[in-house]
Amino acid sequence: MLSIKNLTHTYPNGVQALKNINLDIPKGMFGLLGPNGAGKSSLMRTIATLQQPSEGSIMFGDTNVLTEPDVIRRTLGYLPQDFGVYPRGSAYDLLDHLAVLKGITNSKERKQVVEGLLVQTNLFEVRKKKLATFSGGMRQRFGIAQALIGNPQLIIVDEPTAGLDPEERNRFHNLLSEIGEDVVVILSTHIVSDVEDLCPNMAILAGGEIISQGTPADLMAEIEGRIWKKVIEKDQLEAHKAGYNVISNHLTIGRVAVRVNAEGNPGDGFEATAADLEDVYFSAINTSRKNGADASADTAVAA
Amino acid sequence: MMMLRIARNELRYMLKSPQTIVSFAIFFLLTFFAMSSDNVRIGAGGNVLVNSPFALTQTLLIINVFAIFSIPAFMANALLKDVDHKFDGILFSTPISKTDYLFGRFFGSFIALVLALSGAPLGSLLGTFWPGVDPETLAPTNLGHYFAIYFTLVVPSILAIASIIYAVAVMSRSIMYSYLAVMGLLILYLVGFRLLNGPEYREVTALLDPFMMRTLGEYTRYWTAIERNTTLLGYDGIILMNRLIWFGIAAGFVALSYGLFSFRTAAKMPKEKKNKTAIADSAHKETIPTGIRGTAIWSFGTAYQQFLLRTRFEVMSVLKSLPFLIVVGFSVFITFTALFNRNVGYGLDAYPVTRLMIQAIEGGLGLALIVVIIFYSADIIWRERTTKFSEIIDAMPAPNWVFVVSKLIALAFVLVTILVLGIVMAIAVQLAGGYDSFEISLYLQRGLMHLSMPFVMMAVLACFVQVLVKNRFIGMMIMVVYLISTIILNQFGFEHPLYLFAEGLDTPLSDMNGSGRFIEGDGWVRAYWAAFSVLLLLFTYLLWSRGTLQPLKFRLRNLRELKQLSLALPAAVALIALVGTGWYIFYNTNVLNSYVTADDRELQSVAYEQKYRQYENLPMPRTISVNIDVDIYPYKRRVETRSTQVLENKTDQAIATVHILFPDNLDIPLLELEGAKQASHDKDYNYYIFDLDTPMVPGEKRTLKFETIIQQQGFQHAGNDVTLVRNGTFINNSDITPYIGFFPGGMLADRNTRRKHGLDPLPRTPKLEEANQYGNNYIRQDSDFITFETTVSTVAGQTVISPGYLEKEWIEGDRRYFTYKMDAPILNFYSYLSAEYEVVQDEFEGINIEVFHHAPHTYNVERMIGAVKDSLAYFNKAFSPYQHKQVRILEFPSYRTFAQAFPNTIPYSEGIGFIADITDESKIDLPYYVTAHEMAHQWWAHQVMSANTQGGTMLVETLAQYGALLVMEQKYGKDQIRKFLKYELDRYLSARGGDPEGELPLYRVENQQYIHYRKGAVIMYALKDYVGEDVVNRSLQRLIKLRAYKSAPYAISSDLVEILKEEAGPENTGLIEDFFEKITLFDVKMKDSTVEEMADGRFKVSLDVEVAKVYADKEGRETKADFDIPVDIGLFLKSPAADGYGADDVLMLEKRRITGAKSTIEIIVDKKPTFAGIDPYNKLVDRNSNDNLAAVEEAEKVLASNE
Repeated sequence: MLSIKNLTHTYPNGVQALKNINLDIPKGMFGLLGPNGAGKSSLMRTIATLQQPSEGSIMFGDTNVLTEPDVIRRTLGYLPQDFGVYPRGSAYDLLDHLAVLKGITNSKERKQVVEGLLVQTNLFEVRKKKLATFSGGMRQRFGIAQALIGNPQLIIVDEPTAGLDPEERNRFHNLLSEIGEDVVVILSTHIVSDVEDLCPNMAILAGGEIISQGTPADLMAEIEGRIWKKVIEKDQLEAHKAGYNVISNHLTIGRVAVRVNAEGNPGDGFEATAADLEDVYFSAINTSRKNGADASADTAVAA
Repeated sequence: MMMLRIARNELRYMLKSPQTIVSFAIFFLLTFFAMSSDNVRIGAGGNVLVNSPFALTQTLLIINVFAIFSIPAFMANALLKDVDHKFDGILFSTPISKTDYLFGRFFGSFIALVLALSGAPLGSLLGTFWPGVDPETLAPTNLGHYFAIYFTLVVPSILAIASIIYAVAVMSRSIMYSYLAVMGLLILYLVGFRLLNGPEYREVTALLDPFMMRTLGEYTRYWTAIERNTTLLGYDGIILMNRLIWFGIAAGFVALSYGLFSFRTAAKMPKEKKNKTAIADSAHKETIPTGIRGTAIWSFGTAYQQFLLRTRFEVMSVLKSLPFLIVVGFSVFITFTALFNRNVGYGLDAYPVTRLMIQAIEGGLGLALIVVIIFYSADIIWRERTTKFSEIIDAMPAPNWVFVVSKLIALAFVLVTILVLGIVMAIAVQLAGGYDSFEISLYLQRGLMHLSMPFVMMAVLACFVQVLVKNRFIGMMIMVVYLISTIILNQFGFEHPLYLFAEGLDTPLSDMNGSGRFIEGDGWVRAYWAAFSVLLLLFTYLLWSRGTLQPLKFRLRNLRELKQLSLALPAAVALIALVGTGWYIFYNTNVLNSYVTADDRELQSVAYEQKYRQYENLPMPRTISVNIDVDIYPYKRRVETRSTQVLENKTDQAIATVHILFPDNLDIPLLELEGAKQASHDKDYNYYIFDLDTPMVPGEKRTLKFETIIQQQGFQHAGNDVTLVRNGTFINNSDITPYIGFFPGGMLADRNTRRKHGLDPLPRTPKLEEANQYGNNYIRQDSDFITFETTVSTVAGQTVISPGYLEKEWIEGDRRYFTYKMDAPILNFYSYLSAEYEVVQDEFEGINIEVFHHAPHTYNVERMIGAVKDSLAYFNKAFSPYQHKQVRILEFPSYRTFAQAFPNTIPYSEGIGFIADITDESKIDLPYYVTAHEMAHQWWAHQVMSANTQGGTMLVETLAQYGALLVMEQKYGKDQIRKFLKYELDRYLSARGGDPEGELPLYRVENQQYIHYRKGAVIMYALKDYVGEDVVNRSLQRLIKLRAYKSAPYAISSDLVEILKEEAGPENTGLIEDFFEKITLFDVKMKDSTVEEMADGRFKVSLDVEVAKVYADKEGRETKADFDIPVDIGLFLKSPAADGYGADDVLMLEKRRITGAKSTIEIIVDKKPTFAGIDPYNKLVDRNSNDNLAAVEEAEKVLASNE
């Protein structure tokens, strides 16, 4: 459905934000995982017609996203990573305003759309409040509501669950999964469980490159049997990092649990464990980091 | 130390912020251009050098006023940024003391402000090193002056204002209130000084002016060039007082705000209305279906609906913003000020005619609108990005044009709102003034359409620039640079409207002639820039950046959209319109007319001088009789002239060649000089040289025949003709007839311009002693008194008038003909006025009086007729009989504002007396004065003409002023004269320092208006008072007998001075010399006056007076002299300056000789005086005329207070 070919973007200062990206995204939810500064937002903005790439093409069905942005915007729902609002105007007013811009010209219908979305995002009670006084989470829900106006066929949500409490996050997941089957939904995030819960397809982006893609199950299957874990003291961490292919570590009651990706049992107290999506993610970006000397580019992209 | 650290941090923060950089750049550029450009002269000019202390002070103090707009960005920002950035919670919980915090922030930001404003002195310093600056106008660079002025005058003013703004910010926690405080200060400043405008309020305004502009004006009012070039303002007198007052106010504010400030009151929660309908709400909520996402419809209707929505949104966003209210408030205020400022001189206002109202709106709002455009274009274009809402909005399926056009409309809406408000206020002012003929269509056409168009185009440009740049401050700076370029490009010789964006042609407005033809050429230029603006708008649309700001290179890809017909068509139409109108404008300005810039004209004058000045002293015959037929075609823009003139060789040599010079815009189909053939014709200057077959011997006469045609075509880029217009043509003979011989007026006159072209300075006027000029009059040197007859025609609906008596009048076809003939000799100086006139007729002792006026201008016609009658009655007796049988006053359009006396005709501009409002009878009757002055010229110019030497204009203009004073005094009394002369004295003293070549004594005046009009009036009145009216009038009668209608020689100023000395007797010789032959300044002062009742019931008054007299030279250097003239001493029951003062209030008034600089006079009178004065009527030229009067105190009280 959405087909991205050879997409490359270089900023005027020479930083390569996207490097030859090729992706085919079918209908349904698609998870785009990547660390901060991987180029996720650049890619999202490019698909959302807000940024022109240096090279490459993006087709949505038969529509060329890059040369016919006006056409694509008609079927687009976009929730940016970070957004503000006009200083004046209530949630209702602004949603209504956006509905007109989305082409819902029938005022009766628009009222239903706007009220329905306000209910679904749990903003109905505060619909007359000034949007500018909303908390971060409320504002994020408003962002979700506006992205859903007008039955978009391509929904791009960039870090949608940032700032949401667990309850709201669930509500959002439900909302997305309801619509996620007939349309293309691209969910960009660095929270692995979001993808795990929702997305039949996914890709991992790091350093501006797609370093891995497929269904979460396939990707997990690929590394099944290669993940080993061990709990060590904090002062042993550096030695382990040097000695093994440590993909992740986290604190656990004063000690450190490390996971490594290795062909066979590394011994030294490591024990086998089932691979999860997080291992997929960390393995991929670890490999990418080792391959690329582009670490500097990564951070610059975040700007 | 904590405070220091806070201050340092604040300073570091401020120095990195855009407001510091932008303010510095703007103030640097403004003063740099003010200094480096020849055309901008703040405080300088004439003998006052551009970097003199006076000019620098003036420049930097004006910048002070502009700087007030920057102050909140520093002072309020210093305090409020914590709140804005939500940092206050962290900051206010730290253990900083209130004093450290408040004063630390204050000093940090204030130092940043001082650094930002230092762009002004730096710019003015570096500006003087610009290569284009004429070194003669520069004093040696004195860095001390820059430091002294900046740190002793500018910085303290800024400190006072900054403290007030800071205090307001501390108290209100709102940047908007800080701006409101700025507005308030400005409004107080401007309104206050608008209301306190008269000379009597000067001292008060000088004390209260926070920017010290008035203080400077008052302190240096009568400074001479020497003083302005060398003296720095001291910290004394009114300057010190002013500083004390403002520091006091500032300190008060600071103390108050310090007292009120507390860290705890910082955060305010926004108030929310309680939702009363919560229950009903939740019930409703249950019924809402949630699955509906809507069906989008994509048609033009949708886009149109989106467009309406966005436009409404943008307009409301502006309307509801506080800055908009501030801008509107400011505009309302400026407009009101401008609408009420209709001064036509001598404290008199004009009636609020619509023309003046429109000009006031235009003049008042012009700059404000540009500021609005620069500010709001940035605000509106960047709205989504600033609020970070852009990514959502930009991904919406609304077309680019919806955003671009709605934003532009919002901007245009702001502009139009302000203009409409201006018009509403104008009409209100007219209503309040009892003026009831509202010309709504004129308001709409000139006040709204014509006025708003360039601003709307500028708004398009501003939006385009803002879309192009990456940062709104850069965009604003580009617009400021554009604004400055509009001011300076002209100076560098770039004058063509084809490349001066949105600038039209001059379109002066007149009640008589409306917008005339001017509006048509202007219309083409506007159409051209409108087409350009449409293209700009298209590019704005195409380059409109959605989402991430893309480099221009990327955005240029969008230009491929131009392939679409919906864009290509308007683009093509606009391009064709641009090229078409551009071609037509070029055809008009450069083909039909020639494109000559001011620089070109200078070069032409230089070439003319180099080529022909060699003939300056060739003997030439003079015109002695003129017979001339003129056909005026006001609508076809044509004047045909056929003339036969007689030239006579009045020299004592034979003349072999005759030079004839026509204005260079004339066609000359016929030119024949009897017994001569044309040797050469220089088409560039229309300069003809004829060789005579046989030389003209002395006394020989020859006939000169010529025909000239003025045929105007199209329009010019500048200087479109204001003389030949549809209704109100006013041309004079120099427009249609030749000058015989080399015309000296064709040479450059200004010293500095001449120096630039390597030419030696020209004397303004030949010296009084140059006897070879005694046979030339100062008006034109190629003729003396002539006989005159003319037949003139115009279109049937108009009347055309020239000097002479109407002999015949007839209609032929669609044209009206008039034959006028003069019965007495006249100067070779005549005019033709053609317009649709109303005539008011009257008669005085057989002399016919007519006022030809524009129908609605009836206000002051009777006053003018009264002035004519009074003048005739008085001058006939006092001087000599009037030489004509008729007096006609002719109104002409206000493109020029003067009245001028031709023989028996007085053209009189609609801009002055005709619309002056003299409802308040205590005001000076301007139309009466001007008419009397012009009437007096029938004697002083048309009977006695002066030679072309120094002092020439004294015999013409000074004596006309004298005549006007005589009839005014008779009609309105001494009190009015005192008021009138106060204006005249003030104008004389104020202008002395600005004379480019220095002041001269009255009898050597070189056509210097401040001397021959202003000082002349004061001197003649004093002379009349000192030697007696009969003595002066007898002297003038003798001058008439001696020189009337004489051309060999003409009268010179010393003729009159000699006669006066003879008539006034030897005891007045010194006085007459002081008045006429020297620049004399008096200083008399009533120091103290006491009164004591005597035993016999009478009163003994004791007066302490001081007197001084100095002689000044050209530049104002003074030498002391003995005070050797008697002076008025007066005792009054009421102050002569008070309302209702009359002759009954005079206890005693007599001239006394005062010996010694300080003396005490004792006088015994019957009644007890309350006021005493020395020269109480201000007859003498006295730089401080306010200390001449003093209230008389009881003697006992004085003693008591001494103890």
